[in-house]
Amino acid sequence: MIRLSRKRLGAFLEQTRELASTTDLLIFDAAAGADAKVMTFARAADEVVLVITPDPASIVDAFATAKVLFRSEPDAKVRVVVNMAESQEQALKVYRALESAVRQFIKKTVYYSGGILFDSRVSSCNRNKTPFVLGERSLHVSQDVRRVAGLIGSTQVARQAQTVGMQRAA
Amino acid sequence: MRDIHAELEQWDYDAPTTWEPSSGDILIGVVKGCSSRGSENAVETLTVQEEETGLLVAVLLDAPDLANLIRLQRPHAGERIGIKCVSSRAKDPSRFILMVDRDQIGEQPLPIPTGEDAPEAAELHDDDVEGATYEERSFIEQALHEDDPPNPEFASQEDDGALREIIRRQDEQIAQQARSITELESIITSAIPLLCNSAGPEASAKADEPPANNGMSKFALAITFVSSLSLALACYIAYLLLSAHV
Repeated sequence: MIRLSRKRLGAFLEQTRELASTTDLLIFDAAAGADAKVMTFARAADEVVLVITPDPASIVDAFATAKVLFRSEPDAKVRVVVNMAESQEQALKVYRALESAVRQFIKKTVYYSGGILFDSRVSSCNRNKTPFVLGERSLHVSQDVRRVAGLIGSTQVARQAQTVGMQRAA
Repeated sequence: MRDIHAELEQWDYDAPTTWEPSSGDILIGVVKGCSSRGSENAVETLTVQEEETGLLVAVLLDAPDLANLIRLQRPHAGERIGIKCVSSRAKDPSRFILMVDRDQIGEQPLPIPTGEDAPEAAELHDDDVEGATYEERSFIEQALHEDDPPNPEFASQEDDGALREIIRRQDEQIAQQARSITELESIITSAIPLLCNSAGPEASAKADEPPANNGMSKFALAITFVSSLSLALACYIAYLLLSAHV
């Protein structure tokens, strides 16, 4: 979708606005990185969630994305979700590493929206083409996802961007 | 027919002029603001101060494609923009072109699309500018490997509690030592009268007279004293051992 021309992307966004009356939240899963098209799409979103992993390369990539985003949207409010963490403590540590770098070099703030623990059973659910959140509700990872979703869906946020763009209905 | 008289009577010199472009018209200026919809039927308006004339121009965002372009690029107040009307036909889906003059290094201006699937502008590849610098990467890696810095406030509270516990234990030890010393003193004190009484009543009656067995009495007294001293020493050693164990 990011490869759409600007005209098509504009038409697509126009169509998404038609869903505003029947939808509370639209979530777009965009590509990672500070790609210009991703940034264009992110700027159109009301909120952005950076989904990162404990891998340093992922954190650096997210930092670069935040740097480009804040340059064009100084008022952007960015959430951070740490995926595939070994523990909630590690997830929090990863977030703090990113947040401290954003605060140090960009003079902005990113908000923590939760951590999702790694679970090998997710892969088996994927092979079975079953959403683990629905098929394995008792898993800790399922509970983590629900908690993150609840946190993102319930908090009032100003317009911000991300690798996952969200539009809130007016 | 327009009521020109009324319009002239109510003429507001400060009111922006509505931009009614024809095909080929270009508007370049600085964004002054964007009015939101007051009602469902109202149209959003982008106010632009035209660069060439300095006049305020109201750009109606009633055209869907122009509204989408504005929504995509989100020009802020103070930013310089350019709008070109490509087609004056209202039904044409792509009537306008919008460019925002932003200071974004690496973001190239969009080419004029020749078709629906015309490619977008070149992507950003200048990692030195858009990516993380070496210093930023090092900072992140260092932050990942460092333990969380102790909260100074919490650390002082923890140390304070530990110190209090140490002081409490020392107070208990001192009290125990004082009790032990008191017991030793009582033992020694009670032992001395026994030593004196062990010599018998004759000793007290013949206190002025040198005893016949002066050497033996002295020896017995010495033995007793040594025994008492040994007892006291043994108690003291036991006390030291107990203190060291605690």
